[in-house]
Amino acid sequence: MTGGDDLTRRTGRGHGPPTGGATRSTEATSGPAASYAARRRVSLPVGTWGVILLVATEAAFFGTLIASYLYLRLKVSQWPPAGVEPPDLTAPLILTGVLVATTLPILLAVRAARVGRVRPAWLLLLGAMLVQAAYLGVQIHLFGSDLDKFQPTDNAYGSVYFTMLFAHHVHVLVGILMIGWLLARLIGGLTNYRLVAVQVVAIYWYFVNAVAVAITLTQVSPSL
Amino acid sequence: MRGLQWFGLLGAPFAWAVQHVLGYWLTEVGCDRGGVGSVSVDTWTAVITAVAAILALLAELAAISAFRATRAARGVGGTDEDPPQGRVNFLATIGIAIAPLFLFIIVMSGVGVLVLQDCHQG
Repeated sequence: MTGGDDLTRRTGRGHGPPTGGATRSTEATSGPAASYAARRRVSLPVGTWGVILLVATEAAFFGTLIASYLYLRLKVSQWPPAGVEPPDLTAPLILTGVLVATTLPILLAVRAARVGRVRPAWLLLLGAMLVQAAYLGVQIHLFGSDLDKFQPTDNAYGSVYFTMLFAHHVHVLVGILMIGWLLARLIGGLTNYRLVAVQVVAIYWYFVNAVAVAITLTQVSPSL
Repeated sequence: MRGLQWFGLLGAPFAWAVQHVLGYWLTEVGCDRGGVGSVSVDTWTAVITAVAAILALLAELAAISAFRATRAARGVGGTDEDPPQGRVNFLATIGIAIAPLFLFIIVMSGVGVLVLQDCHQG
């Protein structure tokens, strides 16, 4: 009896591998086999644990940044300091809404990949990536406009404001690069490894989108 | 195996977090009155540091044990069986890496009591 047969009996979920006879998830090298392996898995993949740990450390990082902003804000009577205009409300809120909306295509892409439908997954990821790239382009433009008005070296507000936004934009850029890499890999079809990668990139993006809300609310808080 | 894996991964960060929070509380509460009970802030800090350091060392040993017990699963997945050997091995590897870092942070946070006077900033 193979490990896979034993597992199927224990979990009561399998009806026999659809293709290839893969008995371990790492042996699944086709869409149907990867989908089947994912359904039979008894534990989260190691890649998922990796991204969970990454998200935990990143959450601590952004939590520290936001705490630093609030600490500095509570130490002074005027925030932002004299000579610096309060932040605009409209553009950051709309942009964040657009970025958060990409959660839906990513979620649907994961669902499609899990049932072995690689083409819909690919298209959904491409759509999400295009929106995210547009978001980043506009944000970089706004970042440049802000730099024309005040500098990170001017005061504590400028320092923490630009650090916070820059850190988030870098995370968005990394996420876009991850989706780009994923799209290139998925052209060759779905395997267990690539299915796990879709889930890992999705978790990263859920986190980045959640952080976008926290960062934006912190950023625009003087104008609320 | 699961217990070793989780203690190996989370034991040292937990020890540091407790040391950090207790140390902050001790300073805030104790330095106003010159001590907590009949014991000085420095003594309490030294005790907490020692306990946290021992906890971090035990976490490192737990992570090494979990890693050694699941070495065969390294690089082959190991998430198809219960307990998941691949997960245990991966998280144990992370534990092995981070426990010494947290031990260093714990020691550096507490070592001030050896050179600084009670409740005085350096």
